[in-house]
Amino acid sequence: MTRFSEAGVDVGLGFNSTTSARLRPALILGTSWGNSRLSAGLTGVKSNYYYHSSYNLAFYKTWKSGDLFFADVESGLGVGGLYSLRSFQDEGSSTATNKSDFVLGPAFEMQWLFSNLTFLSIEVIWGLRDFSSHLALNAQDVVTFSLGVRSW
Amino acid sequence: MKFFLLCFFLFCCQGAKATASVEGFHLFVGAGNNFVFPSTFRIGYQAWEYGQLSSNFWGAAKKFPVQKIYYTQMGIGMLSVGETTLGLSAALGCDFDLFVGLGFRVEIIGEVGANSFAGAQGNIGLSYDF
Repeated sequence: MTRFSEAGVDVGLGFNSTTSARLRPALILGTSWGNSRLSAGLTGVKSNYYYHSSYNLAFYKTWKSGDLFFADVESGLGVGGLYSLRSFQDEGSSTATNKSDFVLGPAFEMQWLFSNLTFLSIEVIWGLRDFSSHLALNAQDVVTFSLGVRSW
Repeated sequence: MKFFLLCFFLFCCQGAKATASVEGFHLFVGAGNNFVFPSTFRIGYQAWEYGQLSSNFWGAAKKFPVQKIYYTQMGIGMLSVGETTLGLSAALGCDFDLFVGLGFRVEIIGEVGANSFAGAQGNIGLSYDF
């Protein structure tokens, strides 16, 4: 039976919506204690012309939700943020164009613990960067998927 | 959309009396990002819901009540973004009971696919408990 109330660390590999639809791996590191969990993720890509790096951090209060196909499901609700940095330098240009983004907002996660050690996780950060964009129906969510290993 | 969802969440925090239902047959029809309708159409029985979970995700999802009207939900199905692949979804929402089985329901659903797509969508609509 999966334990939920002890301190532990977890490491996961997955992908992130900031590089969505391109197979760019993301590394997710987490630590949990009691019913709290801190999760950090990073992903990025670099070529001769551009690079793009994203870093996200979230804190959750977690609880056991139930089971899905005989495996435990854990949910968490909290706050999270993302910092993204990207740069592009066109061929023949001597200067690079740099841009960065920062979003902060409520976050939730769900972990499907299909064994005592391994889990699938989805984290969603609901970015509240700019309310006018929300009124314009533009999404600013950050979704991270990971397949992870947890050690207690 | 997201702004309205946030306002609704805050509103619900003030004094919800109902409980997120996981009993019997129920229905959820709603609009998604850019108010595209229908972006979700689900038929549910007890904790499970089947159908269109978001505008590009079809499958089955299990609902986990949290407290009052809140719930989390995890599902598996087929994600159609560019190509159709196996997908996994996770959602957080609330189902506010209006009257005689009719409810106002909002949620944010995150979805990921085997093709490395990851994204989220807000759903807002009406639910009905038969």
